[in-house]
Amino acid sequence: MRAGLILLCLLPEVALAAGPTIRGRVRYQGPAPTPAQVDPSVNPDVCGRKKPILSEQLVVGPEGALANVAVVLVGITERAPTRTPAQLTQRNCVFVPHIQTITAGSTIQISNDDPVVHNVHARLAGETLFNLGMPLAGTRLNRRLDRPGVVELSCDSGHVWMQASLIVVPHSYHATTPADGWFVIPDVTPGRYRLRAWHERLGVQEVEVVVEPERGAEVEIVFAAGPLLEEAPVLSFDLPATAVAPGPESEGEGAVELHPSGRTDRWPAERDAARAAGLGLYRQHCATCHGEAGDGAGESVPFLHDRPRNFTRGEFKFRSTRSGDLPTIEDLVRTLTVGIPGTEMPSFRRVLPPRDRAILARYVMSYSDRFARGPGVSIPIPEAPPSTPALIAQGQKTWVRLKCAQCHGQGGEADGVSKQMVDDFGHAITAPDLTRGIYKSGPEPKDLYRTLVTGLSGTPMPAFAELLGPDQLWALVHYLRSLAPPRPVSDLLGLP
Amino acid sequence: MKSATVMVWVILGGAWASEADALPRFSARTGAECRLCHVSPSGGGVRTRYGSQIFQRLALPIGGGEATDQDWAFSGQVMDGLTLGGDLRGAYLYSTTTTPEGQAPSPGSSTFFLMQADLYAAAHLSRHFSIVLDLGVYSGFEAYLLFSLAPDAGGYDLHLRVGHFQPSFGLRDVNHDLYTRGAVGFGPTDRDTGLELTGLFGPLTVALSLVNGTFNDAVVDRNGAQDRKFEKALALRTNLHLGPRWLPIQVGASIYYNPNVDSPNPLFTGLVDPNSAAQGVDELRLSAHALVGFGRFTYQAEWVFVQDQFAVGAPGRLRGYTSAQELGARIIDGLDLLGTFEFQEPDVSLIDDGALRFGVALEIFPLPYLDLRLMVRRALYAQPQRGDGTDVLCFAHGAF
Ligand code: HEC
Ligand code: HEC
Repeated sequence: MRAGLILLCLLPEVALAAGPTIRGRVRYQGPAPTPAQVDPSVNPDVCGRKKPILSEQLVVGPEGALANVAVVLVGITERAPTRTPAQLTQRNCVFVPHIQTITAGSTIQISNDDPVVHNVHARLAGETLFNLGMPLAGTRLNRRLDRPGVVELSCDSGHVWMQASLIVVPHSYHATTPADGWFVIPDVTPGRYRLRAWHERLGVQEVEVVVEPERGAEVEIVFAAGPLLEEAPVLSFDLPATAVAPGPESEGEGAVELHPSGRTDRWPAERDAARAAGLGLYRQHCATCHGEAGDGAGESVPFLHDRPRNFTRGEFKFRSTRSGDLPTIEDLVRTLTVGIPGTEMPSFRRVLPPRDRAILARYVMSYSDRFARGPGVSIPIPEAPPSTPALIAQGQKTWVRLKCAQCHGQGGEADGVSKQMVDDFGHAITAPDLTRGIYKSGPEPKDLYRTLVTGLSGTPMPAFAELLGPDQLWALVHYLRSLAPPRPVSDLLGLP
Repeated sequence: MKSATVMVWVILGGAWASEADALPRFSARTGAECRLCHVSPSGGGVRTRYGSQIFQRLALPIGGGEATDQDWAFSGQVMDGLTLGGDLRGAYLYSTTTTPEGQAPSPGSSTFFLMQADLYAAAHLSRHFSIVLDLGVYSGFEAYLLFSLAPDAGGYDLHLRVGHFQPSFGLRDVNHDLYTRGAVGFGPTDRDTGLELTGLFGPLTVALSLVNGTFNDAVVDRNGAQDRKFEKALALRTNLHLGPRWLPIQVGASIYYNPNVDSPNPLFTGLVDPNSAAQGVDELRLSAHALVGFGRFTYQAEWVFVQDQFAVGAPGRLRGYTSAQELGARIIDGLDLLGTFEFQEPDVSLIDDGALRFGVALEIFPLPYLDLRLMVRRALYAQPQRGDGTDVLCFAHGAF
């Protein structure tokens, strides 16, 4: 804690007061490229129909004005940053705006203006923050963004060209260049600063600015023409390292709760205790597939069909928590108890007593420091109404209305238009054939309910929590289950 | 009485005393490479962590209730990198032979016996390098160094093994009594000394062995005392995985070429004058195999063709072939019904000495690490002087 404090004192702290501004312009040096036109292979009746879709990777205006550059002050902290609500729209199968900076802790309202299915899949450093299904025109959802960094947005519903970034900044001193390349950062305390400019394909530039009491500062930032980057560059805010002070309770060993406390100061001790408690069991029962290092690369993997989960990313599909949130310990125990049907992940019900399953679930958490914040919070699942033909018919309407067929195919046979999907680990993934009646989520109706509410993190399957009420969700679940006809012959033959 | 005793010993020695080998049926069922469950690239012997901890414990047994305490906490991994394993088969055998004409009737015979007792140790000295040992009470031993070039390269790797082992050929079935195993020179003690290079190329596995070409667990090359030209044996085995996940298919072919050995193939025993055989035989074995899984059904088949070319003496050239097939059905998890069919014809030119054998077996896996098998088998011989036989065999097999 002390180290952190010292660092904090050394850094200029910017006070929120009406003060001078930093004004500047970002230019591109070189011939302005003609933006490529995207040929929408999916939903061409809507996407790009009103106006052509142009690539926004490099938008250069007159006099080399460079748009879509995020400009932020780095190496500063702000005590109480002003949070500004932000907007993101999906229109003409394009995210608008393409690039925007927002202050950490702000809420972004995401809307869909298109009559086609979109899913806003937000990832920070490759890790899903949320993946929300937005199949209906006019839908609006809100999400708060807390963690600083470059959040990349994409749509898995076949609209592979849809890309945008939200730059979440830990303070409010940031701006994004519009078409004319000009930006303004107001109310900066006079002083000497470092200003970083980030462009998704041209990289990051840094300039030093001296903000004078009256005049403020004026800067020009030039990006030279050159080969475009394959991937968006990382943007670091040069924050002081937050020193973790050992809490008083974590001094003694052994007294560790099964549930992580969610207190970051206690996490290292809790993690190490969970490691120590579960290592033996993990090596015996899990490491051959999930690897000693929890990276999903155990020695059996070359000979298996399915790819065991990499735990170090802290991304889990089968959760009772909000899209992008971490699973609860009960979620992981459930996976160990029932296994993942239709995959090589076995059920350990017969060989591991409940206590060992809990120790192992806790052990799995120890691989990702994301759990320092504590596990997620369960969304309750209400009692299931019995399946009736009326409910099934209602569920079918929801299936059509929410355009699940985009990824799943009309009859759920995995022949939707969106086939080339990738998961967060970079592996190709397909929608399951729902007519087979084997669900990774689990065998019970409530398992499918949970998946519809929470989505399957790390995969394109989005969450629909905010779009459907319990009655509609249950109707959809019963409809999904009705897609799988009884399989007397294949059961007799033991076919998958 | 005498002939019955002989019969029992033939069966015991000839290899119901089956030795630590694999069950290709499981590979047929899962479509997986032998390496998933066994440390040895050609299958058999010491099991991997997956084989013993996951497959044996979770996939095989009959469904049971929820674990309440650490009932099955056992692990053969005694310390980091050191795994022990073992196979123990105890059996009861009842055997009858129909009396050939002109001989005194023989009563049936029955015995308890220990078919197999093997202890394995595998020391994984580094990610690349292991030492594997298999000590069998009856069946001799295997001992080799195993080097893996790229253990982390996904489905692509090269394994080199050096030492005493059975060269890769066909399907290494647990039952060495099969016409395609012991009867053609791949019995429990037919281990050899040399090198083997196995390449795993995704769906394709290719193993090439260079060994002495001696049988009966000999550790030095005693062949070719008369003739000092190159007389090592070469074996090549290929296996290819095909088909969708619900219909895993493996097909493969093997060649074993052993020039200038000093005894004929066991398939030709009785057809050859021992003196001529000692003068040197050039032996060629060819095999084709297939493994198919479809839901609860498995099919495994192997065909082996053998040709011995004698340098000196009467037979000149002898050719014969054998085949073994097994159809398996998983009635419920942990309970398999098996039908086997075997055929052998030691001398292709004259269909007078062939043999046909078929059997049914019920195999149950009541608990992790344990299986029980009840088998009835009938053998029919073309030669009237060999009486047809029926065997009833029950065994209990514990493995870890
Ligand atoms: C035979 C290999 C195998 C073994 C052994 C195994 N797993 Fe898995 N596991 C998998 C596979 C494959 C998946 C991914 C399935 C998928 O997502 O399609 C998985 C996924 C998981 C997940 C992710 C669930 C989620 O919500 O995303 C957890 C947690 C997990 N395993 C824990 C364990 C633990 C703990 C053990 C040991 C007790 C274990 N596994 C043993 C193969 C295995
Ligand atoms: C953006 C594409 C996409 C959309 C839209 C989508 N899904 Fe999915 N869905 C997937 C993918 C991919 C998976 C497979 C995830 C996996 O295997 O890990 C999946 C899995 C599922 C599962 C889980 C099955 C199991 O094995 O447990 C269900 C149920 C499901 N989807 C239902 C729906 C419904 C209902 C809708 C519409 C409301 C919908 N999906 C919309 C891509 C999508």
